[in-house]
Amino acid sequence: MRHRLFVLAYLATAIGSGFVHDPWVLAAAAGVVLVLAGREAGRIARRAVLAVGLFVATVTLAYAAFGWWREGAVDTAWILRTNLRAFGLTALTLLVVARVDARRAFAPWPGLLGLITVIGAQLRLLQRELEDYRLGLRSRTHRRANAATAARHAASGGAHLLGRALHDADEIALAMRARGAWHDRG
Amino acid sequence: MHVPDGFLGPQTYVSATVVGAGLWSVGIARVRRQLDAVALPRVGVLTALAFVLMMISIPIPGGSTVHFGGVALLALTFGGWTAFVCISLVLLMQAGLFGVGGITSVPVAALLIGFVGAWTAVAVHRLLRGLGDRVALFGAGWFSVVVPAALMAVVLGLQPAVAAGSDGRPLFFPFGLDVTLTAVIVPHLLVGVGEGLLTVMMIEALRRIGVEPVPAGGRA
Repeated sequence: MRHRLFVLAYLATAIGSGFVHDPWVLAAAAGVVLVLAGREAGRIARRAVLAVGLFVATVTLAYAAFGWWREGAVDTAWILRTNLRAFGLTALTLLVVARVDARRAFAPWPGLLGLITVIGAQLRLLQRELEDYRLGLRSRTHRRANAATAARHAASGGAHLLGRALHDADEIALAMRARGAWHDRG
Repeated sequence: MHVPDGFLGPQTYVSATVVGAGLWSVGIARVRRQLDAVALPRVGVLTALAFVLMMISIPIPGGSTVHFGGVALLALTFGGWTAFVCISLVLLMQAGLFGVGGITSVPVAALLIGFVGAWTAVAVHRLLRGLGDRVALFGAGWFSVVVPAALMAVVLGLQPAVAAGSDGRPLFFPFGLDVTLTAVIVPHLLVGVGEGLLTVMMIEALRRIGVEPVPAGGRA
């Protein structure tokens, strides 16, 4: 119940943040998120900057250049507001995900939880397959493979990877059936 | 088409959440009926693939990102509703786990990429089947990227009009339709070619290992 309440409070905050436009309030809110993160503040701040930094910087620079060219001035209030809102909400999202147990939060929707679990498991498997493939390519090439070699390698291995992933999926299906995940008829 | 938090106004994301809630409840009920012990893990594989494809994204100055999606692949293999629910989950997981795409933009992105993209792929595939299987698959992939991108360009371009301050300056996304339509759609015309080719190659690879797309008018 506590985890579900956390998620609801987080969603209410995210929705409500759209109605706050004062950069000082947004800066204070981002500061509160980092304080709540405690020892993880540095890691969460770094991840938030990495996640949105490139996108926000691209739009910010484009808007600043556009304003300078059209009006000879830069809308600093917009820049502060947008950057702080993007950073604060992303940091809050990463903090909530780190603190909330997804299994408990999604417990009322077992079908959805099952799908999320399967997707998560497949992501792990896919990550492992790709890592195996990357190491295989590295062991077969003298120097660091250039983009063309890596692309050819990926293209030739794509179908094989897909086949292996589907084979793993069938194994998972058998394991889930053996553990009673489905009540098969007949 | 990942848009971080702070670029869409509450008028947009609250409306999208309300519309999305209805569609998600229908979609989840359909998916629950459709997925069985064999289909669920396979859906997981293609959804994980869509997750990876969508993570490799490049920001564009017009206010969005370009990336492959695997939406047509999911829609043509498991149906439009399954693709919608899976793409929504992918967007939610990307926002939560990696901060890629804001939580407030998830409903808009899910409606455009997941719902519109998936059903566009299904409709285009049915329309173009007479021209040959590969043409239909390529068309499904291309339109599944370009149509949602065009709608995203409209949503972004309307932000200065629907969410401006008392001084008339934008509160959220700053560029109007004159910028977004060109800046968002043009790169996606090229990405659509890649998505079309990917759809053809992946569906053919799936057929080789015995996974057939859903028949037209079949499973939703």
